[in-house]
Amino acid sequence: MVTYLYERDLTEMKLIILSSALHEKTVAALCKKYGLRRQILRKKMIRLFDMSLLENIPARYEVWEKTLPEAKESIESRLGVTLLTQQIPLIADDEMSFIVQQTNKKISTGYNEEQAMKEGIAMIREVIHS
Amino acid sequence: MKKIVDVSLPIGPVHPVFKEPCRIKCEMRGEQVLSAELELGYVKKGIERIMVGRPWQEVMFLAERVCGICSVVHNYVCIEGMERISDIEVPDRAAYLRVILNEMDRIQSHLLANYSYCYTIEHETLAMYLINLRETTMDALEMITGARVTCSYIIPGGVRFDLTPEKEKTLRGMLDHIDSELTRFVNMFKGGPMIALRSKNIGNFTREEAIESHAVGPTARASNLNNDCRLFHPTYKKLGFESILLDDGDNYARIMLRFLEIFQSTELIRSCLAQMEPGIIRGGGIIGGGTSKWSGEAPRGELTYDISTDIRGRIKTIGIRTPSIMNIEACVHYMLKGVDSSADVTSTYISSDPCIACNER
Amino acid sequence: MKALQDLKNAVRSRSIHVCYVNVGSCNGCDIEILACLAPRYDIEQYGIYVHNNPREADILLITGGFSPQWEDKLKRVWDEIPEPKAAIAIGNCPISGCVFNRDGTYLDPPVRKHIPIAAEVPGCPPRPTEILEAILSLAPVVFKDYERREE
Repeated sequence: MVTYLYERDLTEMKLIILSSALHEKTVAALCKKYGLRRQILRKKMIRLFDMSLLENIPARYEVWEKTLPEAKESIESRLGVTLLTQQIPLIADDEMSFIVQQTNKKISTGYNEEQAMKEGIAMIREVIHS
Repeated sequence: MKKIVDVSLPIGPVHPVFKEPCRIKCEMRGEQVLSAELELGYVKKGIERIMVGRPWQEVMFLAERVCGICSVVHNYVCIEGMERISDIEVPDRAAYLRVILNEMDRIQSHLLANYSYCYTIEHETLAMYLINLRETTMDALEMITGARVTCSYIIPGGVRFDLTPEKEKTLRGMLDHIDSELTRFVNMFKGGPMIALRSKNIGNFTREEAIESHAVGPTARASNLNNDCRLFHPTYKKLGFESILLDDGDNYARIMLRFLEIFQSTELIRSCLAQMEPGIIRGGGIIGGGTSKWSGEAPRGELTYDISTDIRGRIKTIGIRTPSIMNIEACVHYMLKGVDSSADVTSTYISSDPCIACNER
Repeated sequence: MKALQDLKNAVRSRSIHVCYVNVGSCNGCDIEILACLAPRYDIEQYGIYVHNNPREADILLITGGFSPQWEDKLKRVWDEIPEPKAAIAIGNCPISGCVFNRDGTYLDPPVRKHIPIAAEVPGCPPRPTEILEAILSLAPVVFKDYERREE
């Protein structure tokens, strides 16, 4: 078996990046928004992102926060679609559009909007958990 | 995010063109880059963790050692953040002297960035001209502050040393020298077909991508995104500062923008020298407790210090967001994508003026 | 064999290749090394060439107090340099850790725990002339009559 010296396990280094003060704030905000546990979100981020993107998470979250007041009140903006697919790409595009579709369908069939939103966020949580 | 690729090309951590260690992993089809990843951690020092619980007298020097290239602006922003917490007024003359020093630092940093770019595209003549011109700037820094790199010139409530009339005269001479020499070098860069052609239309970076990745500084301004923090700074407002914008977003635009900003910086210093009046340079003051978030424009872009101190001026929490964090991310994930040859990978990477020491702190 | 040794001495005194590795510094020392390249100091008039390639280097300049990612890598860089070779620690960080050697740091100074260091240049950062002088005064000690001493 060939062992590459330079392909080291980077989990520890990535965790160090995520433990800075600004990252703590951002991760906490995301956890609150989607009702996630911090460890699970961190684990997912470490698995998906490379180190430069991890460093940039607070700035990217800020970009999304700035767009909030301009965005009109819609299902997409309340679920944070651009946040999770573009700014902090935790979820693939097709999975996200499926969730949005499902939520829209529920609302159009006379479902309570709040309830539908809750279920949409639960679906997002499930995707991040997996 | 695995793709079917021909070649996986790792560059670094020790590589002839890198000033600092980092590792770029490119996935390529033939010579075209499909995607790139960055591996860091080679210069992680944990400065933010060291700073917590320490008095401002120590944090001031630690802040300077976040990055050796732009050490002045780290000092500047950290001290201004703390002054905002405790409402310390700065004398007029000191405020102008700070701007002079900051612009001097910007000149040397931009010259160094363009030097590394020219060195990377193997145009050693121009590179050597630029780094020799940088020595003039370092002389000016040394003349004003007494040190070449980590000067700790800016302190709460003022600056350490005054600029005497003799020094001012020498400084003016240096500025004229920089202007006249740099005009020559810029013409060389513009007119040389092997330099300009080598840089045009490579590493394209659009405005939308710049907004998405929160790119800052010359990297963003070359893509026509204006987020210069100097526009909101009180002293720069007095000087009537306006930022320069280019809209090509390729390597050539980024390098040219840095050249243009050097000319702008010398003009800013001249107008500072003209507006400055004799007076005190140290007002004094006591650092108290509170929180503040203050941004300043480093040579590479927006630098943010998020500080909270306790009543005795010790740091409770601190978050530093350096410009390189955004710019390197933008470079690796947007500019490198679609670059046509592996030789352009290094030149594109250097054109965004990466500073790993800033990035990792 | 003396003639051959003399020839080697003469060649080595005018051709010193330098590689620099940043193992966790703030960049300040690195740019002072880069400043040595400037025509003002003109490092090449002494026959010193900065290549940053370990395989053709004679002298390794180390800046920064050792971050954990380098644990296996620095050893490897050092092993790749052909004999005769020497390492110089530039700045306070590789010597003692300087301001970073406090509670909460990720660094693990000094560097001489990991590879043998032949000379140390203190300063935060040292001036380009000091770096130049250190290289010039170390080179004859390491390279002169290397083969004869080996026997």
